[in-house]
Amino acid sequence: MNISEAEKLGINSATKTCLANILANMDLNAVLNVAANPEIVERGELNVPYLAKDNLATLNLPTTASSKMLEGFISPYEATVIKKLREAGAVLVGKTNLDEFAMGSSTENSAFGVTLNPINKEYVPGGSSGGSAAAVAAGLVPFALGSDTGGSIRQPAAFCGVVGLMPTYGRVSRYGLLSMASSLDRIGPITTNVEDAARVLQVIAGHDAMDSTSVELEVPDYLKDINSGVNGLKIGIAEEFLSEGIDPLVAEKVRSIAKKLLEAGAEIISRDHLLPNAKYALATYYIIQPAEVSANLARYDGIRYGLSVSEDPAVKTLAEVYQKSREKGFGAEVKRRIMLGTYTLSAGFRDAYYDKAQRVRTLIKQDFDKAFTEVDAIISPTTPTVAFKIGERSSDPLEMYKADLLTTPANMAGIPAISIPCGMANGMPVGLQIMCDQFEEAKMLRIAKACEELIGDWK
Amino acid sequence: MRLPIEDVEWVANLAQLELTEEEKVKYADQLSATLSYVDELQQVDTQDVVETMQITNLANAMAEDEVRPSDIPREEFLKRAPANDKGMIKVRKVL
Repeated sequence: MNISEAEKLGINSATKTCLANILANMDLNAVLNVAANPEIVERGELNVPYLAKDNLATLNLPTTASSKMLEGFISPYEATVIKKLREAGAVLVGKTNLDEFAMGSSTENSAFGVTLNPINKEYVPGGSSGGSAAAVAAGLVPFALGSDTGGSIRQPAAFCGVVGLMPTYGRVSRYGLLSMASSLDRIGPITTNVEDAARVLQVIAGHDAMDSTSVELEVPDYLKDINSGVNGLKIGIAEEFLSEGIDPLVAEKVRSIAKKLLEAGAEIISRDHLLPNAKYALATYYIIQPAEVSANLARYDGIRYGLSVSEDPAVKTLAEVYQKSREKGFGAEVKRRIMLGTYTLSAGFRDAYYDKAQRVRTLIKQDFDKAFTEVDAIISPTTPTVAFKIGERSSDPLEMYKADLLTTPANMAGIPAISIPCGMANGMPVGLQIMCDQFEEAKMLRIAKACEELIGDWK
Repeated sequence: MRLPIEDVEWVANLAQLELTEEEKVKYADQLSATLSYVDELQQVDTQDVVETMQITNLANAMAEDEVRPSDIPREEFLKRAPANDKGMIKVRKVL
């Protein structure tokens, strides 16, 4: 179901249909909590039902981040994006599964069980927004919100064969998104097509006094030029994104789209070292992200809210309250990243790890700045491989981290990126990633729309 | 190089995490593997490179320093805490 189909049904009927779809597909484990009787209004520019990732604060449904730490937790306030969508007439029908606190690439780290990929239920849907991507791919709702820190919107969108858009850092308010890695976190839509992604972004973008990193730039009309095509545009290809560690079947899909773009009038600029430092983005990510996690997740201490052993008579000291609450509340991956971040930020190591990574981050950003003086956009696969089977990588964290190889550069540079389905390889969908300069979402959507039309039926 | 168990214990203590003996061994291996992977950054020359502070170049986003009533009543916070007393969140003895 896409947005215009939902609009044709009307909000009452669309909501009923979506709720029935959700309940009929609980085996996917895409949705954690369902709003059985949501408040419905008949107005607004986006008067359709939707789902939100369960790390976005909502007033009437639990916000758990798929962690035992927040099981059953109801937030006393709501995220700005949720408020904006409600004001635009969108109806929240439930919250979606994710890797605990959005740390993971498969949803296998959820404390409430893995989500299945609706294309093939033996495969992971990707992560961390795996529930949102699976729900949209299974047709449960016209759109869902996700969050992206290292690829968490785009990678599951690619794995499930749907569209995932990560806006520029600061384009959408993060207020009410459970903080994970604050210098990288972003909120964006997962949809069945490019135009729908533009419509959701239109509603959620804009400055918010509650998020000091959101920018005071006017929100352009994202639909105005969306059908203008690619004639005369310069599309860059970084050869390093198509070679080492990339499945040749996946790389081939991207090359064949480049050919079609050329035929449609775009200029293709292919370089061996278009982004020479992008190969360090993954290592940079796995220093900066855990470091920020270790600070942000210090708030889960068993004192003010969330899981606590505070009232357990066997627990004697304040330190034990902290340590035992955190031991019981956090899963293995969350602990692993807190440990990693605490180590790299600790006295004597900070210069070599965190400060070094922030310098390499500058180099990655400078590569993109330079590339965008020459090209309008850069295309690449979204992920090095298509979806993997459930359990295939869960015993080796480092192997799992490599699923983020091609998505982390855009997070590091603060630029927007979108993933659209572009074909099948080994029976699973392949994602095409399009990256543009900061705040150039309109141009990115226009190119994505053109690619979508050139690709046609991708299944 | 594998991280010594004592280092894992030291980090867990800093992070206020209680770990089982098995977890200590597991994390020693897994953290070592990740640390040796991220070590590839040491080969990048960053001699004259400034650290990224804010990726869209914002600086000093200031808010008015003014007292405003909270949108959320006190009770909403208290009822989420494990225990409260006289309108305050109850915690274990600090000193």
